Amino acid sequence: MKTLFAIIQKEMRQLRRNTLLLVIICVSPVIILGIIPFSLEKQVKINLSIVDQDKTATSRMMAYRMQASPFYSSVASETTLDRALSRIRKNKSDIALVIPENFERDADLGNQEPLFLTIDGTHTLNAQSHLAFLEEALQSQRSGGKENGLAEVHYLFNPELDGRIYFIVSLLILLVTLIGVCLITINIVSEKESGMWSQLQATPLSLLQYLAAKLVVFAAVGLAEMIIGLAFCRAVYSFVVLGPISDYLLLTLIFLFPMLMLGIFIASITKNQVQAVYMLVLVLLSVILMSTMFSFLNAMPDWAQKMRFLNPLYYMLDASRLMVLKGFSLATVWVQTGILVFQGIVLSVATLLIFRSPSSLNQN
Amino acid sequence: MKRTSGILSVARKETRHIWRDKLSMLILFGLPGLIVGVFGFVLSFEIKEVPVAVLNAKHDAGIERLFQKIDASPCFHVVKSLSHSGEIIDAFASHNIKMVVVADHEPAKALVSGDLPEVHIFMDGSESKLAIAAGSITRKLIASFFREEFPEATAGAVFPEPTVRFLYNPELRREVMPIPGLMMIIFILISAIMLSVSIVKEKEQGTLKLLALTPVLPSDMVFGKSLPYLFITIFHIFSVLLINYFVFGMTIAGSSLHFLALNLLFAVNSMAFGLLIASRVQRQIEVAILCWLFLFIPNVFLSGFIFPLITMPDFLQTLAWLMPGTSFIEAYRGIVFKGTGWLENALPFALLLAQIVLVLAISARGFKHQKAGR
Amino acid sequence: MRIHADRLTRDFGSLRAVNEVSISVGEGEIMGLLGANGAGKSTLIRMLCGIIRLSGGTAEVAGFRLADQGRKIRQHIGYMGQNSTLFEDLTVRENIEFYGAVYNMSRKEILDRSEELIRELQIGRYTDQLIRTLPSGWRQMLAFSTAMLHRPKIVFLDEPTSGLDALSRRELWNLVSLAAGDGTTIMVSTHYLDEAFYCDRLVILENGCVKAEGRPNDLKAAGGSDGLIHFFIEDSK
Repeated sequence: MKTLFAIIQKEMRQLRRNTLLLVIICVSPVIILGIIPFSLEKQVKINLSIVDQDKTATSRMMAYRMQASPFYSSVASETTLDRALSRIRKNKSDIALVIPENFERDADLGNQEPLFLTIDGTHTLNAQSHLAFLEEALQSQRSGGKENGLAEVHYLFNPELDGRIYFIVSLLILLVTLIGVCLITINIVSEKESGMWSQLQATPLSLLQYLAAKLVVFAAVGLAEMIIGLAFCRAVYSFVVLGPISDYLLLTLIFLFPMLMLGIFIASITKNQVQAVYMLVLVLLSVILMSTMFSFLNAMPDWAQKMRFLNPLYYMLDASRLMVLKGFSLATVWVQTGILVFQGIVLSVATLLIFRSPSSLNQN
Repeated sequence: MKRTSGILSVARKETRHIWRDKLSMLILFGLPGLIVGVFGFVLSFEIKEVPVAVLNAKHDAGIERLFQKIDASPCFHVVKSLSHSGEIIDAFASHNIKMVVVADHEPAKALVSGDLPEVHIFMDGSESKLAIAAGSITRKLIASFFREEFPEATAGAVFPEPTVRFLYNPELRREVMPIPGLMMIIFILISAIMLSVSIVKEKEQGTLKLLALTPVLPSDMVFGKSLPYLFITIFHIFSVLLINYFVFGMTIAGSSLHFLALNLLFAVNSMAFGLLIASRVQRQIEVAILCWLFLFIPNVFLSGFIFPLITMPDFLQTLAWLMPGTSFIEAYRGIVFKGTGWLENALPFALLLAQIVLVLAISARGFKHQKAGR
Repeated sequence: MRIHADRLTRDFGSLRAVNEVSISVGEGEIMGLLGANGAGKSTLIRMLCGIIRLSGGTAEVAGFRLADQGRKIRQHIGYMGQNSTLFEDLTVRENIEFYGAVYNMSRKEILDRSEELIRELQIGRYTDQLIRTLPSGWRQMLAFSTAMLHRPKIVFLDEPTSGLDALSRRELWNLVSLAAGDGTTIMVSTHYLDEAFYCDRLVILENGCVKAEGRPNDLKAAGGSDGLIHFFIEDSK
């Protein structure tokens, strides 16, 4: 309708006028995406300290092979386990390997004392994978490079085992979420605060039109963020979306529906921008921390796993990982998409009820 | 003592503002407890009950037992049984399945003909760390299974495994590990955002200009405003400590005084960054976005909270050390888990202190411009 | 009668902001609402606009029932609130375009009316300037004209002159009088006593109740030596 178009036009104009904000939302994703993915471990990089108590050709060969391998960013030799452990304490290495005495001698006798690994358990994610990698490497070294004939692992979807792509997806979605929700919530609350909301209430403008316009504008901003982010990551990290890109952008829009509605909901229950900021911290933190952005779903306690039904970010991450990293299409993730739409509808109803309720928050 | 009375009156005004806003007060006081108490349980990358699909092509009884063994493991949970290999790829699209184990032969028969049994593990490689770790665990499971079932045949194929010990986290106990990071988030978001949004609100409303006309110096005004938040943060430090003790049984290996000093220092540091943002922007929306994008995200990703520093390239490690969160987490883990002392944590403390001084200096210039009237 | 309200009441929790107020305003009449801060002037106006729901009473505004035809009412009224009426970070022209579209005016209508407006106010040079940069006197007059954009039958003004200098107040009231002369019904709230005399009739509110009503000069006479102030002095109970 013409009115809707006029409101959208007004919102766009207002957005454009705010230069600092525009600069922030255009430039900061680029800065963040330009720096943070470099901190993610692309290939396995183990910092190893070896304590060679055997001092034979075999043990020296072992150390030599590791030094030559690209998967070890540093291989240090220490004389005692204590010194190796203090290296771990000082965060200079994450694994200490002790090759026990008589290692070479006992190799063929079958009663060989096992190697001794001490791992810094502070970072679970890394500890587990570095341990696994090292064990496999040691196994294959000793079997003379012969593949363990019992089970073969085929890595799908990410043959180079690039450790970055998983978190780049999370980062992109995080940026879109934070910018989109903060913008829409504070925009609406500041209109409430300034009295503009009261002014508009006296016009024939309906609540539906008002909110729909906001949704459209800020969904466009969110989508633009995603497009910029994807393009940037493609250029800098050769990061590609395996599934159909149009499908993924559509998913982004679908995701923005419940997420922005959540922002509008927050705006409907807060009186001023300060309250809105506090509420945003509470809600966004909860949603982010429970969303499997920084955890595995199955490692979370049962009650936390069940809460995912309330969390649009969870479904977005789930569907995104399937579409971006594994190449599935929108049709495959219809469950996640459906839940997102449902969440959006529920939030819309709740928001409309609150806006229309006789409480003084929205009708003062 | 005019200056102190000026500072105190600003502090009193700020306290009233906070007190009158019950919703914000609730969030202000309750959020840290919530974050640590609730989310402490949630953040974990433990490999636990990972959903797995299986394919027993020849319906072999031995393979069936293998799959049961995999299901029995705390690491995996078999959720789907496939009927043919065409279903393998699509299996990853449902139930959060991360791995498909396929056996298309009968091991007993294979061994008879002198071959080793072969099981194929299709791993979701998109999360590479999980893939590597889970793949290794599965291989070990399979190897130990075959060793039990067919001990003679598999004798030469497997070597004794290394003994493994995890330092600082003997059972990879998950609840306690995220706590330093969660504390960092609390301080950064609450101390920084709340102080700076309050200041910028007054900027937007124009009341800041009014204050500029009073004899209260801008520095004193800022100091006065910060005081209530400082006390709230001290409350947080103690309340979170209690929660950590009673809920997680977390005790401090090092000196408690040292620990309190660290928390206080970081809280002041976060507020300083909040002031920096407040001195530069005019609107509350800008505060919110800048705090989330430039305080929350970099500190969460670069501080060693989730991703360890040593795996970062050198130039980024330097950058990471510039982040206050890094110093905080480093020293926190040291004092609480490893029992390090003042000397060992000299660097993080020094960095935090230096950042406070630097950031306050830059903010002061920003605020002076305000008073001069731009 | 353009506005006909019967025993309007509004409660905010236990606080009764408007207490059984009955009021009638005819075509082309300027009705002034006087009262101290918190007397209920703004609340009453917002009730009549359909912004706030009624706790009690009935009203008819512009020929429509307030209780269930709020939407229709809003198409035929204009409103100028206490705070910003216009979008600060849009230009004059952009504001006009927006409100024109909101009131379902055609492009031609909007263009014609904005030309008229610009000529009347003589702000031709400022049409592409942001509202934020205009002096407050201009802004209020512009706000009034924007409220009149769609030629509403009734215009509600909530303290339109607060914060303005004497000259700007005079100029704004000129516009109001002109509009009333053309047949627009105006309901205005103010706490400037001298502005009372621009109005055709007055209603003086105190604690949500009608304390007095009538023509300004009649009320002034009734107030004795104090004049209108008489009605603002606390009654000894």
